Amino acid sequence: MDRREAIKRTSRIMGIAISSSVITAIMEGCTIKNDINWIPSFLTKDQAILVGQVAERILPSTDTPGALDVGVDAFIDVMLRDCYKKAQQEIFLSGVRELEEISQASFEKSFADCDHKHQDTLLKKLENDSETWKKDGKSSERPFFLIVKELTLLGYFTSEEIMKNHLEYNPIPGRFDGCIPMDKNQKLRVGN
Amino acid sequence: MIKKQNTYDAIVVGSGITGGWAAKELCEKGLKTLVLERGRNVNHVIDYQTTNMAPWDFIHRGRETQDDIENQPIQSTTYAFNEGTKQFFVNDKENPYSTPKDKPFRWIRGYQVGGRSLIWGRQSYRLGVIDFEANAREGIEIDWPIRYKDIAPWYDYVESFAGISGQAEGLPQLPDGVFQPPMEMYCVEKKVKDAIEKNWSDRMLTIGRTANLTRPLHGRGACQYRDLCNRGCPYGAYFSSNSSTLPAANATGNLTLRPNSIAVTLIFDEKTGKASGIRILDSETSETIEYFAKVIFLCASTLGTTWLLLHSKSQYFPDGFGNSSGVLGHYLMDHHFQVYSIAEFDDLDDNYYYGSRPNGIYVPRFRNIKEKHPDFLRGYGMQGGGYRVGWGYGNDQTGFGASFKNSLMSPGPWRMNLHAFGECLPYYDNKVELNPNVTDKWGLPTLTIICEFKENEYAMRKDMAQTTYEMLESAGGKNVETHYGPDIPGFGIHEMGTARMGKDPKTSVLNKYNQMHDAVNVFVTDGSCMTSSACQNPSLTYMALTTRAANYAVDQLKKGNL
Repeated sequence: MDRREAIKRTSRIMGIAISSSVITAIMEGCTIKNDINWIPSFLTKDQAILVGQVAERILPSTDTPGALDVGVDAFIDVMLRDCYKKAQQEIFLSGVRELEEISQASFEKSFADCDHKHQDTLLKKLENDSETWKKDGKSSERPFFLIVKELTLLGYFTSEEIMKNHLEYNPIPGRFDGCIPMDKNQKLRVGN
Repeated sequence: MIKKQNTYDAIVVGSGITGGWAAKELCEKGLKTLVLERGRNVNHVIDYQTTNMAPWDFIHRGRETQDDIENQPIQSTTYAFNEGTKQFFVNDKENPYSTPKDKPFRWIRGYQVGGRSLIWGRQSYRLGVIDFEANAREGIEIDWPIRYKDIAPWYDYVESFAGISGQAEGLPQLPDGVFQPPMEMYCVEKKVKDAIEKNWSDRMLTIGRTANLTRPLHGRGACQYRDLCNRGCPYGAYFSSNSSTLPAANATGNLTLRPNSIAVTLIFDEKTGKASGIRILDSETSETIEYFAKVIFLCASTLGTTWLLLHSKSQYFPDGFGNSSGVLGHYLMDHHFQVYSIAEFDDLDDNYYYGSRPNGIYVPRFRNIKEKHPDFLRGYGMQGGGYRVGWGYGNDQTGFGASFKNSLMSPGPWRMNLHAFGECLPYYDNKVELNPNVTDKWGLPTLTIICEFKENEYAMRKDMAQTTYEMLESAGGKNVETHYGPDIPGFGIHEMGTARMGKDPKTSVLNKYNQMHDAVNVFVTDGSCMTSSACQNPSLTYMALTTRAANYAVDQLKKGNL
């Protein structure tokens, strides 16, 4: 499914009729990097843009929606506000700061302005650091990269759009078969 | 006049697993019965507000918030606590308790109509012949006053009404029950079962015996395989007081259910040597009210009942109601666990499943059945199961980007875990005491809980780590990881033993019918009655003991003995 179709489906779920010109506008909106159309409650606007860009590189838009298509950035903002201890919030915010700093140092650009290749290079570095943290016995607080990755996955795979249209969602299976052959193209089965 | 209005044939304190059963039995035998529940009312189905919510309907997609952790610091640590179930766990701030710094205890509670029967694990196993004989045979503490044959017909009775699905296996240490058809195993579980049974003549694996209906029963619907039990089931497919026993009690016309009623003290009548009633505090109005009855059932959970008895001091009972023996509050037990192994299986990728099974597998106890283990007494069973991991395993994987995303949209690898649950011996110094220095929201004294696992449990845990590992490995499991951490008592949510049954009034609180030695019209049938813990999940045994005691009480009442 392409993104146009994804937006149509989402709007159907939400019960809104959207004209093709509006869809074009939304799609263009999604491609404008340095803006958001929601008001953050924990992050600043600049931080929210950067976090959204990170989430989008973790789960990018392809023939299926990306993290930003299903509002993962706004979800991360709420989760940081409500579900994380002060110490973890601070680690997250300093992670955002450091990512911006190494972006400036490496490419003389803000992370949000970098192209995908450069963004991935920077994230790969953060990921390598987090591997070291895992090997060291996870003794300190969870690093920024793993928090943002965890929240991106949670926000994305529990969103209505992804569960209903890209996974095999069934809220009431009605029966149980424990051991059955699987089709090669089988999607992940999920429920409530 | 007020006394007459407030007089019933029977009072039941608590509406959880045992209170519901006591209410059903007493009401069906024609007794006008008052059920006192300290928490709010929870109407079956109507008050299961989260039951049909999708993940995206939850602001935090199921996760607990910092506010939740602030209000429910103990409750939020248990497996069943999440954004969809937190309403069924107590507020720890309003309901404090104390422990010594070096002996933590996690007390998991549900104060509402239905109690913890709304959020229980539903695994339902009988104790066997050896469990009731163990103390006597080994000279540990006191003997049970009953044997398996005394309780067996009552297991039949409660299983027939509650609806337990499971597979009959013919094992003496884990007697078969009246079962609904078993749930199916995953391919990986069948594989592990075959390997275990090929490699060890004394070990086997069976599907979990669970209080989830696989066929409709008594107006309740069969399981729809959503695996969302702890939010409350709109089909009534798992056993809870709300879905099963309280509606049956209510149908008799003999039930009066009074939520928001904290039982504060038992009223002792020195002339008759019996309890004449119960004094309650209305948790909403703070009004004190007295209720009277000929027979009283305490089903307020192990520590709830023990608190009530310890708090019911009088000139006659200076150390707590029914505590002439001095053992009330002692011998607190819980199952020790948190020893488990997990393995990956890479040869089953062509197999999948349909539906979410609210049940796992069970490995019945195999230690100290025929041969004596050199290092410890008693034994352990194992729970666990197979699963095909979903997108969450992406958090353990290195990687991000387009192909990473696509891979998480398909089923991940198969895994299987085995968690051992071990018997805890009764120890006098594992105990609870009344603590007047810390009071709850209503100004009532609270409990100090002093409990720890000891040598026998620690020796057993080493063996648990070894056997969970070797059984998964024998089945071809890859990257088998064993978790052998410390365990905190209480976390098994099988706390029991603080008002134990026994033959001798000098060393026990209750007789063989769960009847108080010191006050014959008071019966205690929750987990506090347990003389030893066995290693099986205990709720089914509490149900059987409750129905047995209730039918005995009615019989005695008719004979004029109460």
